[in-house]
This record gives sequence, C-alpha cells and structure tokens, in this order.
Amino acid sequence: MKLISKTRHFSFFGLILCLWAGSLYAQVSFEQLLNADQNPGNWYMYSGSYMSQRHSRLTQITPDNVKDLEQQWVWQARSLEKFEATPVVVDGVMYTIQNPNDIVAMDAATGNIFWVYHHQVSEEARPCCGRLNRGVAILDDALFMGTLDGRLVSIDARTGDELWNIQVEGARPEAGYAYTHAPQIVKDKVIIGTAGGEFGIRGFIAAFDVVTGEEVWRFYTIPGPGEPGHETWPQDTDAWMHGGASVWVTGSYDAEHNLTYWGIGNPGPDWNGDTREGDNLYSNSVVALDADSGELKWHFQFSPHDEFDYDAVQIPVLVDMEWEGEDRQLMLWANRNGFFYVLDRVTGEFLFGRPFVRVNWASGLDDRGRPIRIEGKTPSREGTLIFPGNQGGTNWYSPSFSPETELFYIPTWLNYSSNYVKEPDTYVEGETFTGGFPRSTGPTIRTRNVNFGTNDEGHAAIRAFNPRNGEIEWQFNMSDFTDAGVMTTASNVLFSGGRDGYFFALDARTGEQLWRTSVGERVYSGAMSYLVNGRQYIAVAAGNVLFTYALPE
Amino acid sequence: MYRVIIFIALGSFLLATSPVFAQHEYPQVEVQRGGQYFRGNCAACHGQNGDLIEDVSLADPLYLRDVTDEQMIAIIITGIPGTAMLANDYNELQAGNIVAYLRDMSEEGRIAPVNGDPGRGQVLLESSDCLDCHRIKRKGSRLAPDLSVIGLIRRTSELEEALLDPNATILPEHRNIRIVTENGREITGRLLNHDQVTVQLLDSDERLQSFMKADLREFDFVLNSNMQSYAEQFSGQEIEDILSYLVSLNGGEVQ
Repeated sequence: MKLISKTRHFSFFGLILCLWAGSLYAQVSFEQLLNADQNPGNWYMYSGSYMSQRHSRLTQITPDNVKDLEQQWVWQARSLEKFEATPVVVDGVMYTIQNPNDIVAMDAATGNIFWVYHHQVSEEARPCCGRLNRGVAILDDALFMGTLDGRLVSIDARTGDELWNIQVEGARPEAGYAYTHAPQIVKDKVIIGTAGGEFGIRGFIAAFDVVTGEEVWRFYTIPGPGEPGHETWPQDTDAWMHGGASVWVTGSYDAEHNLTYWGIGNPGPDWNGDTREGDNLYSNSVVALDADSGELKWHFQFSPHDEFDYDAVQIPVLVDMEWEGEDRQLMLWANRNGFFYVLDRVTGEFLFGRPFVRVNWASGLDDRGRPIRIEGKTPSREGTLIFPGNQGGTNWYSPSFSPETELFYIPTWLNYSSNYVKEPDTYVEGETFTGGFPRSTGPTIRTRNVNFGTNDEGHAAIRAFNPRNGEIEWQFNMSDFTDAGVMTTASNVLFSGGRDGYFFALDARTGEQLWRTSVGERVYSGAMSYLVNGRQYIAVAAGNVLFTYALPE
Repeated sequence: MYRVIIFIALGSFLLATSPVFAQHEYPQVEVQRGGQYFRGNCAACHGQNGDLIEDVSLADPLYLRDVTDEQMIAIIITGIPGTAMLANDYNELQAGNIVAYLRDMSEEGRIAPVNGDPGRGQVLLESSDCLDCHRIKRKGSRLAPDLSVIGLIRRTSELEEALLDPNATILPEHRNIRIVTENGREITGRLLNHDQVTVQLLDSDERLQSFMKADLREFDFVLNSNMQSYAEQFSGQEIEDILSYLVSLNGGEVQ
C-alpha cells in the first residue's frame, strides 16, 4: 500500500512519517479517480471508472484458469432488500451498503468488518422500487451516500464518523423524493440525482461541495417556465411540476470536456400521456452538463412523450473508438425502449441506432434518432400489447464494454412484452401518480423461487454487440429474466449472473461458459474486481450475500 | 354443454345460500370505492392483481383466509414499520372499502351457485378415472393438481372449463415435462422448476428428481393437457353434480 505524498520533496520528518504511515489507508485524490484504470487493483466508483465500462484491467484471472476460482469469504447483509450495490475497494478496504442506508467498511481480503455507519431512514420515505442503495462514492478521506429520505451524507472513510448530513432542499421524502444511486465525484463536488418519478416529483440533479455539503448548482430535469424545453410540456397546467424525470443510476464523466452525463427517467403519469402533451423534456433523455456549473451543454431524448415507462436510466457507457474512419469520442446506449444507440458524446450527435430486441411501438428511428411511432401503439383501457414490455429490452443493471474485444455486452430481455392499460390519475402528494398499469403477458415477473416458463414466454440473454453496426456477435441464453449487471476483464473473462441462483464466467470473445458456481438466489448487482495481497478477487452480491472469489494461493 | 352454462348463469342470479362464502359480503359501492383507492395507490407496489410483492398475495383466497378484516384495516392505516409497507392516510371506513375490494377480487366469480348434488358428484368422480391423476384428501395420484381445497382457489367457471375443455387454460405451474436421458430412458412428469442447466420434476412414479440438461438427449415442455374432455362422458346434470362436489372442497373440515 502506498502513501501518496502531497509535497514534492521529503523532509526527514516527512520521510519518517511516510515510513511509519506506510500501512495506513491512503487519501483518494481526484487525480486517482481520473486515472482509475491505471490502478486496477482498486475499484474507485460504482462503474469502476468515469467511462463506466465496468471493465477491470486485472489479468490474473484468465479464460484458462477461471474454472479454478474458489469462494474466499462471504458477508451476509442483515436485510432482505435487493442487494444492488457495487462495492468500492481502495487499498484493501471495501465499502458497501447494507440496505437501506448503512455503510459497511470491511477488510477486502477477509470480509472482517471494521465498522458500520447507520442512517435511520425516515418513515416518510416512499421508494417505489426497493428500500435500497447502490453504493458510495469516495474522495480524499470521505465517503458519500444519498439516502432514501432525500438526504446526502458524508462520513470519514477511516472511522465511519459523520462529517456532514444534509437534507437536500426540496427532496422531501413525503413527496416521494429519494436517493438510491451511488453519487459521482467531480473535482471538489459530489453530484447526485433524485429518484421518485412514480410519485409525481420534479426531478433534479445537484452538486454539493464535498467539504461543507453546501449546494453549488442544481439542474432540474424538467425545465421551468422560460427555460428552453419548457414548451415540451403543457403551458397552462402544472403537469411539469409533477412530471417525474428521475435519476436512478450513476452517470459518467468526460474529463477532457468536463461533461457529466446522466440518464433521465420516465415522465409521469407513467402510462397515461393525456395530461402531458408534448415531448416532455428531459424525460427519457441523456443530458450532458458542465460539471462546474450544471449548465446543460447538450441532450438527446430517446423516447419523446413516453407512455411505456421506458426510463433512460441506463449507465452512459463512454468509448473512444474509430467511427467511419475517424477517431471519435462516443457514448453507447442500449435503451430500455428496445433501441441501441451510438452518440457522439462531445456534441450529442446521433450517429447510429437500431433495435436490439423486438420493437412494435416504433417502426424505426429517423435520421436524428427520433423514434417513428406506430399509430395505435399506445396504452388503452382494454390493454395494448407492446414489445418490449414495461421492464424494457434492458434496464438499470450495468452493461459492459471491453476495449480488448471492442464488444458491448448487454443483459437483455427477449420475447418480453406487456399489455399496457391506461387509467386517469390525479396528482396527490405522497401517492403514486402513474396513470394505469402494465399487465404481464407471461408468467409474472416477480416469480417465486421456481421457474416454469418456456423461452418463448420471455427470458434473458447476454448479448455481445458490435457497436459499429449493432450486429450480435454471440448470445448466451438464460432460462429466466435477469437483473444482473455484466463485468468484463482485460483478460477476456466476462462475469454475470441471473435469477436462477448461478454466478458464472463466459469467454468474452465467444460467449462460451467457462465456470459456474452456485450463489443460491438472484444476482441483483454487477460484479467488480480488485487486488489485495497480490491476489485478484471477484465480488458479487446475490440474495442478501456478498460473495468473493479468487484463484487458490 | 350450453345447458350447463345457462343453468349456472341463472343460478348466479338467485339468492342462493351458497356454502361458506357468506361470511364476506360487501355492498358493491364499497367494493367500487375500495377499488379506486387500491388501483390509484396500493397497486403501484402490490400490482393490479395484488400479487407483485413476494409472499403477499392480496387476491389469493388462501392468503386472505388467515387474516381478519380488522387486521387488514390496521395494516393499511398504520403500515408495517421497518418495511416498505407505509402508513396510509385513510380512515377506517376507507381502509374497510379497500378490504372489501380485495375480498371481492379474490372471490369474484367463485361463488356462482351450482345446481348439483355434491354427494352424487363425489360418487361420479371417484368411480371415474379422475383419481388416476388427481388427488383429494390423500386419495389418488400426485401426477395432476391436488384438488383437496380446489373450491377455495378456483372459480366455478374455471373448474367447468377444466372438465369440458382442459386444453383451454393450463397454468404454467401445472405444466408437464418429457425428457429422454442419455441412455434412452424416457421420463415424463410434472415440471417443478428449471434453470440454465438443470430441471426438477415429479416423475410418473411420484418421485422428486433433478437432472442436468446437458445429460439429456431430449427435453420438451408438454404444453397440452394430459386430461381428456369429459363433455361426452357425463351428462349436463352429472357435470353439475361434479362441479358441486368440487366447489364444496373448500378446506372447511379436516378428515
């Protein structure tokens, strides 16, 4: 473990201090976060690095030896809520979440716990989709976590003592606001967006000073009167004040252009667009904000005037690749709406798009990437059959991009549809504001422990896409749906799980399954990897357990 | 067959003293109001059919049988601390309307009185081949669904359909499976579970078995019913007698 010295020259005293402190936990600078890929033994943030490829540069585990992986240690969270968090590991210390809002620090080599920070969630909190949290952010000596009751907390990374704990202005839990995703650090700010789109919130992304917790800037995901984009909502009603547009997963950051990217959720009421005529910006969009000021630099809307709950709450995956003969800075996006997109991440220009699952609500995309809606494919009183169904062709769980294979790996739902039923709804604070419901067309999504579905009735697959043309290189089928993210490594191993109690490794080049182990419940998180004592570990959460694996010593 | 349907349709308009179910009767206006509350608020988490939260089956009569109206009203109003079930700002009357809606949803269509003789129906059922596949109160086979409390969990119309047109609706949890092992042995049985690599079934000898899919030569879901139609074998009145008997199997007493 290295101690990073802040001064350029050592004094004798400094030298002694360095030698003595050699085993102490190091401060994590913004510089280290920017260069995360150069220090692959650590996993510094939710998606591994700012480009969010969920790709580890560690190569100790290979396609040849992955079958020798052995379970190392486990940790059981005292919560049966969906374990969606990805841990952060820095210099042998792991930080993860015990749902809903505890932060646990443990020895990444053994699982022994150093301390647990507990936040008591207010009884007013009303998250729609799980009392959980997807992880912490780290900078210097501090950790950061958003809470289910609209608070942002900073604690000391060595002791778990609280540094500051603020109620974010306007993020009232009784109105449905909540924080569920791991925050993002940029320079001296911590950035986070609100969940709660099913409760008629007006979503926003805000940045706070890491030292004081003071709010520095705010970007509303629904523009107010006078702001550009406000004209995409009715001008004479308050639909825009309860239009949803939440943020559910951690965004990405481009340091060269100082842009922070965020996927925005669905407009509300989810399944009834009658009271919100217009494209409803910036719902179901990706927004690129100046990280210093929060100013909107560009946006791209995937599903204007969405009626199918097609949140664009996927991880924005940044890739530097040749595109039509030129080096280009791209953003890859497999969207919940069933289309796969390639955008220029500097300008937001739409470069390419095509369906990656069966889509029947749009006949395609026009040359600006706007979906061409098909008449009659809209929720109705009797129910309208739409492909993909409400959970989408893919959803919030992490995809991965491998610079080695240049393939984009998407956990996909196939043969999946919903019958969308529309109902009238009126906004009442604290109550859901969704305007209808989707009916499952196959065996219900939230099945009990057993599965009797055929593949025709819907199943998941991990699909490896060539981002240049959207062609599928290979596909690994599962027998049930999935909520598991995908991680790849520089040695061409892909790790993922599913709903049937297995965690497995595939060859990232071919999709061949190389190793499979029993974890006994659904994998609700994406795997991550770190190095400690010279050994590469893979960690993944399934059920309420965090499992770790490594090669035998 | 149509005589049977007309009989049942007429019967449902009669003020018949139907067995057991009279304990929960709610005015329609309460049910409707409760439905508005439920669909507008509760359904976001519980689902329109009350079945989206694991182990909480609000439309399942077996589930509702074990909880009183008062208990449900208390839960609706005060929530369950430490869980995702929030307190709700309803008064007792409103919460009671939601309970009325849930009980009605779970019993909808089930109470249609049937104009048959359950005693005769039991004789007909036991002397036919029904128990070669089905099981009632520990008599019969485990190869097909157990019918011991079928009157509590299925609507009369569904039972009639199963007798007359068994292929019309087969629930996924009642599927059959046919496999052929590596050494050519064919095994059929009830599909219990399957995943990427394994399948679990109850075979024709009523044994629980698990196989690796990679070890099988053939693996087929049997999506048609093994049950024949009884429309030709029984008269309309006999069908009604059998339905009356099945409807009476509502968990009322232990033998």
